[in-house]
Amino acid sequence: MEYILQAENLSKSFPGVQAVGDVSFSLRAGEILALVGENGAGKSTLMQMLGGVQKPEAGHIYLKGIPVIFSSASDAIHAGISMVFQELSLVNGLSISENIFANRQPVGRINNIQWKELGQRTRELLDRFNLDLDPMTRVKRLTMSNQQILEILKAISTGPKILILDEPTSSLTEAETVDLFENIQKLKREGMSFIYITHKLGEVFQLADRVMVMRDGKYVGSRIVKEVTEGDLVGMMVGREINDMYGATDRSASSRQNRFSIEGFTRKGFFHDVSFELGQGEILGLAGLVGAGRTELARSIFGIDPKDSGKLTLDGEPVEINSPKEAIDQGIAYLTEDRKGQGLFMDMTVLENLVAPVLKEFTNRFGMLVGNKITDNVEDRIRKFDITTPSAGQKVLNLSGGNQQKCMIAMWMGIDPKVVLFDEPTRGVDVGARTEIYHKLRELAKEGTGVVIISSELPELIGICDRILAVHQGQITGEVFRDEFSEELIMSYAAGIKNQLHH
Amino acid sequence: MNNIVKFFRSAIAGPLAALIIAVIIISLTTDRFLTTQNFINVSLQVSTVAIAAIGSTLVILTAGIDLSPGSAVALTTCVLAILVKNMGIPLPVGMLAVLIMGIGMGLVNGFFSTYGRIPTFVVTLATMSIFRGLAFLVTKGHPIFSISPYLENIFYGKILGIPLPFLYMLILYAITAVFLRNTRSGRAIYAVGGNESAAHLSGIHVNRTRLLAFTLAGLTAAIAGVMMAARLNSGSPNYGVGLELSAIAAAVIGGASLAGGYGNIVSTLFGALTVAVVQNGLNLNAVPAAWQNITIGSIIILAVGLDMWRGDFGTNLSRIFSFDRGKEESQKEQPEEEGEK
Repeated sequence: MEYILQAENLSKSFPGVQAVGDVSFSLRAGEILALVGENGAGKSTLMQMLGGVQKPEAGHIYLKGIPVIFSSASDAIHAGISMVFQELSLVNGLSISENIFANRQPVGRINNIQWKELGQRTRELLDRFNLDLDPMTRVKRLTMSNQQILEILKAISTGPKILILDEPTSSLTEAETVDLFENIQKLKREGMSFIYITHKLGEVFQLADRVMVMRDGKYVGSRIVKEVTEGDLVGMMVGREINDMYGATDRSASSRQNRFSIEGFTRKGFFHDVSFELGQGEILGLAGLVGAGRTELARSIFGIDPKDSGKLTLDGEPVEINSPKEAIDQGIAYLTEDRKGQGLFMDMTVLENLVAPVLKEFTNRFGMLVGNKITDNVEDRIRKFDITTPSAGQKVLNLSGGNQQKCMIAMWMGIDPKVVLFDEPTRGVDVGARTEIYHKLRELAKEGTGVVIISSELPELIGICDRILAVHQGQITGEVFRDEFSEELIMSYAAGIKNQLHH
Repeated sequence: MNNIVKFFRSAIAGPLAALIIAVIIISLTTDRFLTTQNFINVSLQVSTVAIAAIGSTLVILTAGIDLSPGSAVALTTCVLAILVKNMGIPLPVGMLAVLIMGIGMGLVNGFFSTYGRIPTFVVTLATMSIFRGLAFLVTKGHPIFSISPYLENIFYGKILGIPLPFLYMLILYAITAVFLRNTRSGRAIYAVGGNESAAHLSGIHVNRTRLLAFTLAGLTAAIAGVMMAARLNSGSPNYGVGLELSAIAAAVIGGASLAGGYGNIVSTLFGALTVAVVQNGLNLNAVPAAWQNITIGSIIILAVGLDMWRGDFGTNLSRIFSFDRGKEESQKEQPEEEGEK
């Protein structure tokens, strides 16, 4: 089979890091090549060089054997390489059709935009993905998953020969993922080639022909998917064996004292009459599809969003929480799924982030912050939570996803919480850091803290939780204990096929 | 029914409603408001600010701000006066020269805020000071009167009973509306303001687009300057003080978001008209100037506030109007509401 794309000795470094070092690989025509590796392995940077977003410092790119140099994304698009970015790159205020055909709107004789044709061409693309949407709908009115699909449509609309997808399913539901995969296969049959970056190893086996692994900016190897196991890939990604990913559960936990409970939580349009209890040292999972209302529930418990009704009990005492401040004062922590947007002060240093919720503790009686005390405490916590950073003065935005996540955990453990609500604890976190995070959660539970985990990844919930509640359309539809855990059972509750509570 | 709902949700509805309400209230308080002569007065007053507000809106759409048009207007009047009166250059040539100078002023603003990477607020704060200073420099601080007998004609004439300045204004707004809606550059202005990196990745030249917005803003400021000079047949370094704020106010009352990407040129016109009508009404009722300032400020808060709260208001309204459209369709509205928040 001929090679449509070859990369030779590509290198790129950023201040302080060699993001990609001397990577060579090739892509065959009509092939789906999966690209896996931990966060910070250099996958995105490598792809951005192919997509014309970053300029390589060294190395060459060949398209069908002809050397090419891209100085912008539009150069690459012109040459037939389109990219779907990990971070959504849509303009919220503009319509679907304008986003897809941004700067490529069909124009008439006097350069006037042909709105009718624009609408028609958009409709054709939407039909291809079975989307019943008005091309003039503004993007801000679309759901996250529709926005993700729109990104893909935008990339396909240029008629590329090679499509690069960077974690396209991170905000898609199962059904939408299946749809997407079908469409990728369809485009593959039409002769398109794909490079598919993912963290979900399952997708590699579902979709790809070949898989390439990167680690620390270097090429580790590539394998035919049929000839490789998930364990092999993890080994290649991490460079070592990972045993005991989730740690051992605390079996003594069966006779736990009640730590925290909610009763009759309702917020119209989001969740209805939700009640559960959480024991001391228990790790409770909330399983469900994207949009089931789990995040909204956690936000209302923490006092970010209002609730219509519902009671909270903490250590046997009823408590009233109407704002995050009150929740923090009661010892409840909420770690958001949106680390960059809502969880951390990205432009501030590790030090500033870690002390943000607990500044009061480091203030002397004149209201001034005590520098030494802060530094000692922060250094201590950086060690305790294994945050890899050159110094406490490093800006959080320069850390890898895993280390950012550890920062967020360290930041919230500063309040000594009794209850932790953790939304997507390992989103965008590599395998190594994942294990560390799971072990930290176990330690936390061992000290008596009640932990609630919201996750879209069932294997994660099954691995770490003592008990799982399935949430479907804002209601709890099933409760599953550790000895009955199975993906099928939990999914059937979460998808609303089975229901324990309302027969 | 659907069209009514659509209209109430559209960006134009709010500013237009504000204008109508202002007209109704004022006409109830004084019978001198609804007269032809008064309308002519208002149209003469509003045109200068409204034309400058075109440029302000373009810059705001790209997520920038332009504080310089007031000073640019002053400099334009002074340079025009010197060229025509002191140097004897023919009026049309002088006018052309100051319009080119306007483009130049816009380019300066645009260049420093794009390729110079200085925030637009800072750049235009500086040029606001510089342009005003230049106006004082070239005139040595003295106003220049009676520039040319022909100059007044371009301001005080009428076609079909419509005062010329009002006509210029309408034409410029029409051109801008078509530019923003029907050209790639126009759409690029929205894209750049809405999401800079997305625009960049779509192959839009972000810097060039911003530069274009500033250049057009410089041009509209110069046109406003010529109007100002023609109205008083003079040039003075003290003209146009605070004009930039009125222009920004017009855009903001018209619903343009200072964060960029949202806004509508027709709404800016309604915004400018609302301010002018209210000012006129207060004048007719002999309200002291101090209270006029307070009123205009309150209108800005109210206009933007209503826009912010409209999410809930518009939803309720659409419920009222959708009672006969069946359940299925009202369910479809649901995700739209969430999107608003």
